[in-house]
Amino acid sequence: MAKLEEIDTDEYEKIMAANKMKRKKYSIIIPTYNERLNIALVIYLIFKHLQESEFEVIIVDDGSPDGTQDIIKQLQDVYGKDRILLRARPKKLGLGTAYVHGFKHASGDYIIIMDADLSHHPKYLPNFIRKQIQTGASIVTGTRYVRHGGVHGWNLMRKLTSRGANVLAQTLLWPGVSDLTGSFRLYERSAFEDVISSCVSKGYVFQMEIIVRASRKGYHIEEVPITFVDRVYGSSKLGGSEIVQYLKGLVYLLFTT
Amino acid sequence: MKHILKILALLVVVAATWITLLETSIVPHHYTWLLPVYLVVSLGCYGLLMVGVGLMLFPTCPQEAVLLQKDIVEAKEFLGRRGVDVGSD
Repeated sequence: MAKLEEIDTDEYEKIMAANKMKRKKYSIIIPTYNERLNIALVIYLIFKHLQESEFEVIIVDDGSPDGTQDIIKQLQDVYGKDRILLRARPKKLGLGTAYVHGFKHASGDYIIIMDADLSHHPKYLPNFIRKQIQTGASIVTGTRYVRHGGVHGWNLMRKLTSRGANVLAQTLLWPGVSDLTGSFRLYERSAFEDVISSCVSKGYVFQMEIIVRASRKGYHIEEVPITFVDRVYGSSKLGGSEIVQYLKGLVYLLFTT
Repeated sequence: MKHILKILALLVVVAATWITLLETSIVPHHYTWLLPVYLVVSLGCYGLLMVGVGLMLFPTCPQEAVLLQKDIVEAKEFLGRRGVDVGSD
């Protein structure tokens, strides 16, 4: 289990009280596609773990055929339309544009992005928030590859590919973060707007591009350990074309950042 | 500055050092000619070592899967009682 930051209760309560006084608001953007069950579970867990902070959840659904939007409307009845914003799009239009679309409707001082499939557990949200307050960082990124972080649900081959890809990216790009393809992150609003406007890649190369560009621009980036439970790996593939796409992405980032 | 330029600058420095060593005779010539090969091989070995060590020390969290299942049950119960359809997809 991930260890919480070593900080005594008094200081923690002072920080949370100060946070409340400043009324820092967090906008959580979650792109969804066919996440009918998972989105409900994620919403429940967010509200369970973020009782101390002011936040809104912006769900960008790309026209899911499985009725995800109906479930979101039911969740709005439970939690309120002011806390859960459904900002849907007609069809699958890509992850990067989903974030941009969500951002347009975000009123928070900070933007948090996470996945809807429960690979990102909302219990780490307070850790992100606390880290940002403690360090004043512009970006806090979750990393699976450090102590107190971890992955479950990957076989040896998958771990090997991940590790090899990471070593290659570290050697070529010197990115300053340990987990490049992760998408569980907290951004200051201005940092998010600045970085996302200059990113053009698709898929997970997009996640790499965001963090590398942010690093190049000199943003203060901190990391928190997160655990990643991959329940869908059995169905998703990591084949040759994915590897080629990744290598292309690396070369692109090498020459343009 | 673009990152590729930083890397090229580094390579230029390395190349300049190598050529200097060739021109002057601080190090025996037959050894100097092989230095780039040694460098590439060392880099390769280092890379493989990093991958191997990383793989051995890859952080895993099997207990998180168990905790997640508990959270899922808790969530389904709460939401079910409040009229959210939590049947499987």
